[in-house]
Amino acid sequence: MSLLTVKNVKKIYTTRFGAVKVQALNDVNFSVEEGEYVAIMGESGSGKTTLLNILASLDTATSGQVLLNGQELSKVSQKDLCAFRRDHLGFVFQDFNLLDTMSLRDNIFLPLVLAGVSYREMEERLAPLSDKLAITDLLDKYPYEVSGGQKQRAAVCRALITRPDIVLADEPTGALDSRASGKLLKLFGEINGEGQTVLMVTHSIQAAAHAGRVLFIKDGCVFHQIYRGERSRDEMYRMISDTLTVIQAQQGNGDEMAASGRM
Amino acid sequence: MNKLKLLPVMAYRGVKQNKLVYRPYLMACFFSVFSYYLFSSLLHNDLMERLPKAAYAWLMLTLGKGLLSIILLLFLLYAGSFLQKRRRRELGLYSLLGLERKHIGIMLFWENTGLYLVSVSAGIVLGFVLNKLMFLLLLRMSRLDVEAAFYFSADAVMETLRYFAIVFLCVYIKSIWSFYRMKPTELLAESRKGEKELKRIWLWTAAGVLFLGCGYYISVTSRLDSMIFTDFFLAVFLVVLGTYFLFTSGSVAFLRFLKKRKNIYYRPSNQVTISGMLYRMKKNAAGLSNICIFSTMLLITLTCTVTLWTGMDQVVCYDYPYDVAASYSENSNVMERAREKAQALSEKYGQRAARLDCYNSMKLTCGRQQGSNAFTIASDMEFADQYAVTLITLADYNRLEGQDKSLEEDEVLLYSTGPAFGSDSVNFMGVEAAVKEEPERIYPFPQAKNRMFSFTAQYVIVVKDQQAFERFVTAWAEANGVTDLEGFLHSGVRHLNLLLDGKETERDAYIEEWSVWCQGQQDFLKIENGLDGRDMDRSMNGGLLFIGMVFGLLFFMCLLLIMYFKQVSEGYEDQDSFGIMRKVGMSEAEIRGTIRRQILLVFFLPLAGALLHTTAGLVMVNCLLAALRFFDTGLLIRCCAGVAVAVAVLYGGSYVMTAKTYYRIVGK
Repeated sequence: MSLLTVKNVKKIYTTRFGAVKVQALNDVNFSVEEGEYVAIMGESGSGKTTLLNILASLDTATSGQVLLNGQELSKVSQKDLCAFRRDHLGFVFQDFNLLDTMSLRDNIFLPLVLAGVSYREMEERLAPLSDKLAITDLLDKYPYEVSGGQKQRAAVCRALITRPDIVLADEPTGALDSRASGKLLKLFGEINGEGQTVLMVTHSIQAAAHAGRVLFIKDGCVFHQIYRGERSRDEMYRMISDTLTVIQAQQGNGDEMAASGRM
Repeated sequence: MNKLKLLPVMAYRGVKQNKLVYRPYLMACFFSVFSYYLFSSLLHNDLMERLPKAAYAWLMLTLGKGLLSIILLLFLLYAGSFLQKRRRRELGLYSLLGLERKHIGIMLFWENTGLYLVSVSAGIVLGFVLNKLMFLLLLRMSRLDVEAAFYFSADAVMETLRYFAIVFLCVYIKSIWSFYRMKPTELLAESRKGEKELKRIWLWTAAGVLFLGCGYYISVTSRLDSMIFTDFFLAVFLVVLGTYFLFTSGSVAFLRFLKKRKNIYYRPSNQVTISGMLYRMKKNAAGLSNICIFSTMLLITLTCTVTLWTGMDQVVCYDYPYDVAASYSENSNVMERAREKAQALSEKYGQRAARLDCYNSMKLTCGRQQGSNAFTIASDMEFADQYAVTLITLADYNRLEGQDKSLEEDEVLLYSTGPAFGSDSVNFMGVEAAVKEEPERIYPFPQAKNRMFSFTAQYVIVVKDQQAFERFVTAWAEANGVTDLEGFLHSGVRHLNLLLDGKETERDAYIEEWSVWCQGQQDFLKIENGLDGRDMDRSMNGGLLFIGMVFGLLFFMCLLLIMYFKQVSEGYEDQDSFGIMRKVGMSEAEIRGTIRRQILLVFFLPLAGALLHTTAGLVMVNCLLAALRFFDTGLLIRCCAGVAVAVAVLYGGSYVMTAKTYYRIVGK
């Protein structure tokens, strides 16, 4: 069985007085197997952030099902949702979302502290992770004292320390320079190599080229997907690039169609 | 657009864009102006000169204003630093975009000038309007029979304008200074940065303990003398400083201690609370000590006011135990006729004479060394060791107190209005006598147990009979070199004192007729109308009460505003953090718990500090009230306890109110 299954998910935003309805997601279907590394690509406005929010249980779908480990997210009660998110999901955000009031170590511990894990165990979990992410020397620094790449690695560490079923990354390289991006993507690759399922939303071809599978979202639907298989990263890069060109070309003569898709 | 014209416009836009923080700041400025103007106009109102015995009140107000000017300066600097921190990024961006430092200086100047003008004019206008209202209200409440004519005091306005010009200049200099010190890149990074780690905590702690200790020491050992007001001011100043240092170092030390305890620190809500508080500890401590100081002032002011209010009758009856006190020469036979007259008047006016006392006494000034049992010549002693000693006979004592006591030839009863005499023998100018007993009370000489003025303490020596009386008087006369002994022996006074018990309307007529009658009797010396005297006392204390009420109100409003300001500013600072915590998987309930804990700790620490300060300050309050002839320490403590409960409730209410604001901001 798949780790994550998304079935017929629809999301319609309604303005306050119900006058205007915007269909952000229109029948999205896909699934992620355990140990997979999936990138979701799309233009801005294609609905990829909405999709991620629904996967993260930060938002609910208008209709359709999201199953994580066989559990339907919409059936988890509001009360348990936070704990569920904490225990099963790990997040990496574009703008890091580290608390300035805490050292990196404490930021990383925060989800564990919330889950009531003992200090000893937190330390035990942190040691190998911080070595792998090369932030061991920075743990006592505050977020405003370190660089963007270092911040993002700390954020990755925070996402991994709960040993989540799946790591959800929202444009993780969006605020990083290319060198730091490269380093971070390599890390994601390594983490995935150790069996961690990763789902990343991005519009960077470079980032997506690291993934094992790339899903393209357009107008609220999964438009196309590419499996990496045995291809090299460069080949992957080219394929993604080509696909995007095709999408763009369609966009050019398909504007009316896109407009009609939004009721 | 011209560059010089652009800068004021930019200043205006900057304020408008940051209205979330500028609004409370402007409110704080506005309220500061209002309260300062209120003080200033009270002092410049010539009503103050017409209030009987207003000198004390005037002095208190002056000291109060001095204190207020220090507090407001610190308060506005502290409020200004909130703004500074929020705007650094923006200023950094301006300087990156090519605005020179000079220009930013000018822009900040315009900004401060604008804020100054708005807050000062609004504050003075409101001050003027409410000043009138408060005066009217409170004059009525304190039964002051003063004509409430008001005028706009130009001096007060000038003073307020001047003072706030200085305050805003200080705020401006501070902001310029903190801006000039930093490079643009630092400015851009600044807004996320926490405070610098506090170093040398022990130094801060030592200074805090020292200041606070000195302040407490001054308060606890204070006596009522000419230095009391200076001492009071000094003690307050030291306590304010000590509070600030201790809150800063104490809270940092405490939080660091908690942070080191891993099993305490790494618990849901603790971790967020502790790190959040450490992050802005200095600012927090300044806010906390401000809240603490204002709560203390509120407590002390209300305690004084309430005590004076409830103890008013005691105070006036201490000075005037009788409605009418007439005195005659020693051998007057006024008493026999007085009874008949009193009886007749009582029937005529439907009043009852609660007391009609007639006794002979002689008041002699003596010196007594602390702890000694000997009364000696007064002129050899320091002023503080001089006492009034009144001699009365046992027969008079028994009549006054309805007793049936007896004495041997060489025995006396010795009564003190102050602390007990504490010796079983007394040497009066060489006359030895055994002290048979120290009576609890003698009505004409009210108790003042905690009297601080030594010269208000009296001793009354009750001797066996007229012979013993003359022996004591002779001893005093010889010691003091009186030449006309025979004449002196008969210079005692026969008192005829009346205290009525009945309706006030009929009383005045009774007293009137009685006074006329008293003055028409043979051997009349003088008469004192206790009712008039009590009214005098009431009006003086009423004046103080009214000042106390204004102060109390003022302090409470300051307190509320500081709390509100702190909550709002911190709410905005914490908004992002709580957003992140939600994303990381903190539930709404956990977030609420964290906030509650944080606010609770932050808000009830100052209250605890204020209660401690008040306890120490109570000794001094006791002295100050003794200056107003209020001696009932028990009542003071009860009033203080009552006030403390009331203030705690008010405080709790303000907490709930301001916490709601915080939740609302954070919850966005």
